[in-house]
Amino acid sequence: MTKAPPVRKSSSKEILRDMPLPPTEEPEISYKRLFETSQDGIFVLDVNTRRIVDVNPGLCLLTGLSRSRLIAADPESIAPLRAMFRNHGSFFEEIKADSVFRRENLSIENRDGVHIQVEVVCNMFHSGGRAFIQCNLRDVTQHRLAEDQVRRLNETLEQRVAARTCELEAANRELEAFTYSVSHDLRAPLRHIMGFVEILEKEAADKLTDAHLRHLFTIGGAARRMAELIEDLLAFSRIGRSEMQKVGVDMLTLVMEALDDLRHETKDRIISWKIQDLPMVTVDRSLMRQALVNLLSNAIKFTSKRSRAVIEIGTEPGRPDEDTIYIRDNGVGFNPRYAQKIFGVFERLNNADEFEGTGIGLANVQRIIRRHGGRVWALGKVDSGATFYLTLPRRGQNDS
Amino acid sequence: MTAEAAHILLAEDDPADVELALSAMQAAGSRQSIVVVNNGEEALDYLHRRRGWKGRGASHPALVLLDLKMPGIGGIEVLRTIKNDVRTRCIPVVIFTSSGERRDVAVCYENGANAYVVKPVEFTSFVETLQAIGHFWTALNVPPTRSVRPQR
Repeated sequence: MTKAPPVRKSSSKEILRDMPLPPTEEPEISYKRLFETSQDGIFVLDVNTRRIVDVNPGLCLLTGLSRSRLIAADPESIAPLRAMFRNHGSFFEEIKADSVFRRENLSIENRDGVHIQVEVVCNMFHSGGRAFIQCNLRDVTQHRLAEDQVRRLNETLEQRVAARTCELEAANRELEAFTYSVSHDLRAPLRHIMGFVEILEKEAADKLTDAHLRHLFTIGGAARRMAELIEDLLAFSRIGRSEMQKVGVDMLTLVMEALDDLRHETKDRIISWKIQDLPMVTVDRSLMRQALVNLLSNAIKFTSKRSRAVIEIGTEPGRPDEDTIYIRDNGVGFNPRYAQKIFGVFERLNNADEFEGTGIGLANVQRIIRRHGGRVWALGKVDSGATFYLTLPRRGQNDS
Repeated sequence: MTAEAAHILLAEDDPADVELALSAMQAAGSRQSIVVVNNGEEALDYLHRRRGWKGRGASHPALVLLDLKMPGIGGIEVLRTIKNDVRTRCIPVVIFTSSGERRDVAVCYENGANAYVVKPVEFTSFVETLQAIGHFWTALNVPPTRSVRPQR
């Protein structure tokens, strides 16, 4: 890291020296001009007499009172100014103690009798052995209105967010009820179809023709297939609903665990595995393991017709805030036109009779990775392998 | 002990499931007697020897095989009633349902279910499952001997 050059603070003397003065005007004239042209209402009080000794046009505009009405007046007798002095002697006490009197939100009556919000700042100063107080009144009505509006907008926004959250929660509950009903109610008729088909096959086989038996077999197979689809849909829905428990874990460990789950699929295969070092990640262990099982089982499945299957797992440089991990195989690949479709529910890019599966695996992967705040995509060509990429937000310093 | 053999009370509203269960028991060569009731209310009537079941034998079933989703009094309520009643709470209750939802499993165990079994969709597994349940609860498991009437 390179060090930033030290910041040199300018002293107030330097700031004053650096401010160019108007070439033709003397300093006092310049201040007087500021006083005369200021949008703020300004008046000067003599501390001893407690009378107004000077006012600017801004104050006349603000109060609707002439300069002659204001000069030499007791400020407490001026209706629009009375609010400043309302709490009895506190104005003078405060300014004597702190040399400053400040109110951010004072309500006064302007020249049209309308209540406006002003910000008041008064300072004490000495001149010619006498003490004076200069008061600045700034109309902040528009400012406060804008603030109010922002606050109101925020409130309505909060209400809208709350209402939307409520709707989303209701939708979630409905979805859960739907899933529950699928889980319970769709399985029962399937059980009946399969059960009675089997009873028929066993008890009435000798009375049925070969064609009828084939029909029964088809019915049974279709019901079994539907049962698989329902189970897969339920598992998919569970992935979206389950609560995540994120922990820090080595991705390599998860890959090894996933491969252990897939022992059965790899036991009669010759696969050349090329596995790089993988980063530490913060994930829900069981969900991420499931995603890896799906990805690796795909790689194993789609290389099954290769005499020498090669499956690589590694990392690639990507965005600085995430880890990019890829799983590459030299299997049958896919048509790149359908690279996005591949992650859809029950989408299959290969013939069902060539490779088994319902087509839910990659939909599960996408759902799991998205729940972790990551992305998935696939690159491939027909007959020249496929590479699946997944990203995960990189672990922060504080992650356990 | 009575002369009545160990029997199973099957509470199941779906006639197809009842027929499959009976076929499964038959296919398994089981000689256990099964009493079928078609809803929760009737299950409780049976256990308390009420209404149509006044004249039944005095012994409790060795097992209540309970479906969850039944019209009227559902499975969970039947389970709760059985387990909250000193006269019936010792009867083993096995939940036998289509639902494998974690929530259902949790609620059933919280209410004292003795086991929870998801009905297999495939008939072969269905037969094997019922056979295993019947064998365990009527041959291996030793139930308490208690008559329908309380002892004291």
